[in-house]
This record gives sequence, C-alpha cells and structure tokens, in this order.
Amino acid sequence: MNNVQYFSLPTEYDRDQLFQDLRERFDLLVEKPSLAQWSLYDTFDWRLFHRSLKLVRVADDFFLRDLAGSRDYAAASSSQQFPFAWDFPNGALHEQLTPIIDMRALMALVGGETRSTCFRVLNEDEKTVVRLTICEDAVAAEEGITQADVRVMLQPVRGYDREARTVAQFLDDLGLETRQAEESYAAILRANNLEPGSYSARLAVKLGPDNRSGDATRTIMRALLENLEINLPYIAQDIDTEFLHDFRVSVRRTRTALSQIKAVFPVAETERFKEDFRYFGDLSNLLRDLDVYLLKEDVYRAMLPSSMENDIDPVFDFLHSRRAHVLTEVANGLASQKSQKILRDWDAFLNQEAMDCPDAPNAGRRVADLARESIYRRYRRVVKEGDRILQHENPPDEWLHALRIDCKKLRYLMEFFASLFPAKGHRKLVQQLKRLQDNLGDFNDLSVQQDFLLWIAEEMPVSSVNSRRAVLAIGSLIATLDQRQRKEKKNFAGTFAAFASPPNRSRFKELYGKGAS
Amino acid sequence: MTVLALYSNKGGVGKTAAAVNLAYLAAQSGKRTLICDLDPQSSATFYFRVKPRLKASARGLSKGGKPIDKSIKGTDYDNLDLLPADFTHRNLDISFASRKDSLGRLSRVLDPLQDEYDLIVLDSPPTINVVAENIIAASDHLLVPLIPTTLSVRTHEQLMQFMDSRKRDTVDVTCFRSMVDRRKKMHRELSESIAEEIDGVLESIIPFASVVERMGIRREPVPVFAGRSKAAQAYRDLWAEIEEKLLGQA
Repeated sequence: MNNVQYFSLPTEYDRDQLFQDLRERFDLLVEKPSLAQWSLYDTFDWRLFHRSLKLVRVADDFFLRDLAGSRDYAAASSSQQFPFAWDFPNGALHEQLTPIIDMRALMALVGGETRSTCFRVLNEDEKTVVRLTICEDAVAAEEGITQADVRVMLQPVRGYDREARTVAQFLDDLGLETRQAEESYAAILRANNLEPGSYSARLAVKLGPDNRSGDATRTIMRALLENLEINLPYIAQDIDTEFLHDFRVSVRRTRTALSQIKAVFPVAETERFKEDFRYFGDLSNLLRDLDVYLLKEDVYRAMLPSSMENDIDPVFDFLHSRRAHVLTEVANGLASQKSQKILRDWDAFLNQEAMDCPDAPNAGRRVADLARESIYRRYRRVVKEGDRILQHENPPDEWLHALRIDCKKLRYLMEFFASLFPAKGHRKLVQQLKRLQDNLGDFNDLSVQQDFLLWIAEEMPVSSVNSRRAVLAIGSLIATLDQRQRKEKKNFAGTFAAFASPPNRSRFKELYGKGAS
Repeated sequence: MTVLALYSNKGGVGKTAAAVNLAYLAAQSGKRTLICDLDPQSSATFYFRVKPRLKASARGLSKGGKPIDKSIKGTDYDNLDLLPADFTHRNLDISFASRKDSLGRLSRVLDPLQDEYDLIVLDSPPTINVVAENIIAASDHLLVPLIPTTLSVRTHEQLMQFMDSRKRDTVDVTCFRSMVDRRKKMHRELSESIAEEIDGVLESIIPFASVVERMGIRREPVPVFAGRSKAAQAYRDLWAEIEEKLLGQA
C-alpha cells in the first residue's frame, strides 16, 4: 500500500474540526502550512488534457504532470506569456511538448494558490508513520477569489502500512469519502467556469434521420457558426496561428454546406451568404499563406544547400514584416461593420422559424435521404475525376487541384452527416478518403509554395546583394519543391487506386448509394 | 545507483554518525537514498526511530523469507528509506559463510533495488571478516573515517593489505578525518600528517563535537536539530566533497 489516497471533506466540515478529531485519537505533529501559487496551462483545444496531462506554472517554471499531480514528467522555464513548445530550452519538456502541442501556444486556464497543512501521525517512538495533508485550493476567477477544492491526502510511510490503514479507516468513520486525485483538476477549472476538453475543432452534430433537411442544415450551420465565433476574437490577439486556421475551416465548411446541401434554403439568401463567406475566406487567405510559410521555416532551411542556409534570412524577415501588416488588415476587416453585419444576419437567419418556400424544395425532405444523395453524388464525381486523371498520359496539375477541392467537399459532407450513418463503416471510408486527401494536399501545398516563393521574389525589394542572394536561394528552394511535387504526382496513381478499389466502391454504394437503408 | 559504504575495522570512529548524516544530506539534495544498517548494534536504526526486528529471521539477507523490499522502512525525511538492523546480523558472517558464493550475497540482495534508489549508504560493523568482504564486494566506494592517532595510519595500512590480498580493486577507498579535536596539539599535527601519508584523504574534517553525541538523545540527524552547528557544516562540506569527487557531480 505505497500509494497515496485522497479524501473529500464533507461540506460542513473544516480543517480545524478535522484537526480536533484527529488529535483526540492520534499523536500529531503539525507542520507549518505552506502556500504555493500556480497557474494551469494548456492549449486552447486542450491538447494536454486529452493526453491526461497538465502543465503547472510557478513563477517562470513550468512542470508537466499527470492530471492527478502524482508524477512530474518534465520541467523547464520560460518567461513568455503564451509559450510555444519551441520557447522552452532544449530538454525533456521541449521534447515531450513538441509532438503534443505542435504549433499551438500554451495559455493560462486559471491561476490560484494551494494552502497545504501537513499533520504527521507519530507512534510511541515519535516516529512519523503516516502523513496527512489538507490541501485547500483557491482560484482567482472572474468573480473574485473562490474556494475551489479541499482534499485530504493520506501518504503512507513505507513499512508502516498497518498504521496507514488505521488512519484511513478513521477518516472513513468520520464520513470522509475517498476520491480520485484527478478530481481536483476539474474542480479547479470549474471554479473558473471552464470545462476540461470543452472546445474542439472537430464538428460533432447529432441529427435524427427523420429531421427535416432545412432544420438539420441549420443545426449544422449553427455548430459551425459557434466554432467560428469562439475563434474570431483571438485572431487579432495573435496568440498562435490556429485560431485563424480553425476560423477558416469553419468558413470553408459553411461555404461547402451552402453549396452542397442543395435547395434547403431560399435561393436569394443562399447566394447572399455564399458571397459573404467568400469575403471571410478572401480576407484571410494571404495571412494563412504567410502563417503556413513561417511555420515551415525550419523545413525550408533544411532544404537549402548548406552554403545558402543563411541567404534565405531576408525572405523570412520580409515575411515577418509583411505578416504584421496583413494581420492588421485582417483584424480590421473582421472588426468592420460589414463583418459584424454578416455574422448578425447569418445568426438571425439560422435561428428563424423554418418556412417552406417554393424555391427550397428540399427543405422538408428527410435529411437521411438528402445526405445520402449529396454524399453519393459528390463521391461519384470524385471517382470520375480521378479516373480521368489516371487515364491521361500527363494530366495537367489543375485537374489534381480540382480533385482535391472535390475530395474536401466530400469529406465535409461526410462529417456533417456522420451521425446519420453507422459509425464503423463511416469511419473506414473517412480513413480511406483521408489518405487520398493527404496525397493531394501535399501535392497542392508544394505547388502553392512554389507560386508563393515566386510571388515573394517579385515582391521583395531587390536592392542589395543580400536580397539577390536570397533570390538565388528561392530558386534553389523552388527546384527542390518541384522535385517533390513530381514525386507526389507519381504517388497519386497508387493512392487513388486504393481509394477507388472495387471493395471500397461497394462500401460507398452500400452506405450512401440508392436503396441503401 | 551508487553504493557507498562507511567502513572501518575499528569501532567508535564516527562511522554511524557519518552514515546517518551523509544519507540525510544526500536525500535532501534530491537523491533517492537508502541507508542499510548492517551493524548488529543497530545505532543507525535507533537514530531514525525505527524498531529493529528482534525475530530471528534475517529476511532476505541471510535466510529466505520476506524479500528485502518488505523490510524497508520510510524515515521521517523525504527520499530517505532505511533497511533496519537485524538481530540476526550478528550471525551474518556465519550465515554468509555457509552458503555458496558467500562473498556476493549482499550484492545480490541489493541488486533488485537498482531502479529504486540513486544512492545506497551502508553502515557496517567494525570487522574484517566475511561480512566485511560482502560489503567490499557490494560497494562502489568505501569511505573510511580516520581518527588522528598514531595507530590509525597503521590500521589503514592493514586494511589496504587485506584489500590487496583479496584482489578487491573494483572498489575505491577514500578516507576522511573524523572526531578531530582541534584543541589537542597531537590531533592537529597527526591530522596534517595523515593527509600526507595516506592517499585519497578528503579535505573536509569532521570535528569531535558534543552535538554529534546528542544524536542519540535527539534521534535525529545533526542538520535537523543543530543546522547551524560547526558539526552540521562539516557534514555538509563532506557531502559536497563526496558528491564532487566520488559521485562526479559538482
């Protein structure tokens, strides 16, 4: 029994009362209480929590622990307000965080302090045989300091298990309930009105197969709008790149829903909001391109021959300064009257009573039928386009780009309606599609990056020797990217063949085809 | 894991006091430490307020029965556990000698603790016999307290001869000066000459001090109840020197 046990105090019970009760029964030595101030950190999308980890900050020291707080995995210092994995010095913490949080920044979830009072239970030799610690957590929440959690921690001393059992039994008789160590993590966050794991970029909409298509589509759109509005205020703060990314994904999904779930809304509104959401996309395209580019800085440097490694510096300097301007433009654009009005009108539209109208003939149909039709139509198109590419000697790049867009639309549709289909079959098909998307995505990225480099070469002021060398370095990068792109294009045939294999085709048909139940 | 044995073939040289205080300081520095009381007098066990088991079964050390990890007791201090002395340790040499591989017994007993502790401190009985050989075989470092007397240099030579005769060159022998009374002229002079005549004498000197005697009454390591005393500082200096010179950590 070398493990620590935790107990909750009943609400009407307090530290002093417990101390009195213990003292009547045991010989106690009370240590001086200690006060520890801390903050809890995680990424906006709870990446550490999902791995059952928490990051505790004390002054500028960060400690990676399990949720129970019983194990320290790594520690390091950073003075950043929103540190990234790469802000920590090379070492265990840096290494462990990198694959988990990737490009996301760490943000403070809640700050507070823990007051620990340790009672030692002594035997007749005045030897400590059990340690009892009362930990009281208070958090600084919006409404001021609140008591978040009180727990009693029983630490046995090795070789004195019998005594630990006696004390545990005594606490049990007093009415203290045992509890999991992780509970205090959730209690602390809830005291600050946070629910662990509450935000996710993944779309999870629950639809009933018999829902009217118009209503179901509004439900999907409302979930997307909610995600979009959660991320929007953080974009201007520039904490990390993923707020913009998630915002843009919601915008794209909304546009796909508007164009692919056909004839469920009146034509005029559909057209108007398609236009509106294109505006959000266009507004943020360049900023996202710059982000992608800057996130890959190390990759690009590694692509260059070592003699050129530093010649690329002016390019990144240029991108950084350019990004600062573009960010301001995007922030202004999002804060503008126009944007506010779009979001207001959209919200009003999504929350109004659904009315049947002649130019939305699908509004009243069973959503399961419409979903099946929409997905299968899109799927057949993907297969047809892919076959055309395969049969061509040397297919133009544009065809692959178009196929990528079609795949994306198919993927979004499958995600919107996931709740209407058997999870297992659906998951399998999504996995297959994802492989194809990864291949097309890489091909597209490589092509976009080349265009972007050309754009930089034109945009950069070519005045000094430095920038001339940078242009040479750009040339070298383009050559490498082009090689990789050709390779990716060669891979397409195999990847697509797997996706469009006969068993996979029949799976799609079974799940989404005509006559599927 | 490093095994550090406080060893001397003479009694009353401050061995146990050094073992207890060094083990405590090691644990304070963050090392997961186990102190093994191999001395039948069981003073180290007493200092940590642990009752020695008086049942005649040296569990896991010389006879079968309970494995060693069931016998280990936590002390009152973080990172510091104790393997209590045992009544039957008095018979250690007999029970060791009566077995095969009688010299590797202690090593094998300590082996399962590899991952659990960074440092094991052995407090040994003042003998040269099979128990001593077991201790020598199990240790990475022997730490020998020397009192500045005319005999101490000779006793130390005997130990070194014994080590040579047993071909025990896997263990490193280091001495430190113990119970040095600065008021005695002879102590001062001998203290100097010891450092010249014997190789590998540490610089730190543990003084003869009543505060060390008081450990028996307080049942606590010196730094706990007399942190500001000269003796406590001397043990801290000695620990720092051991960390730097023997454990390779500055």
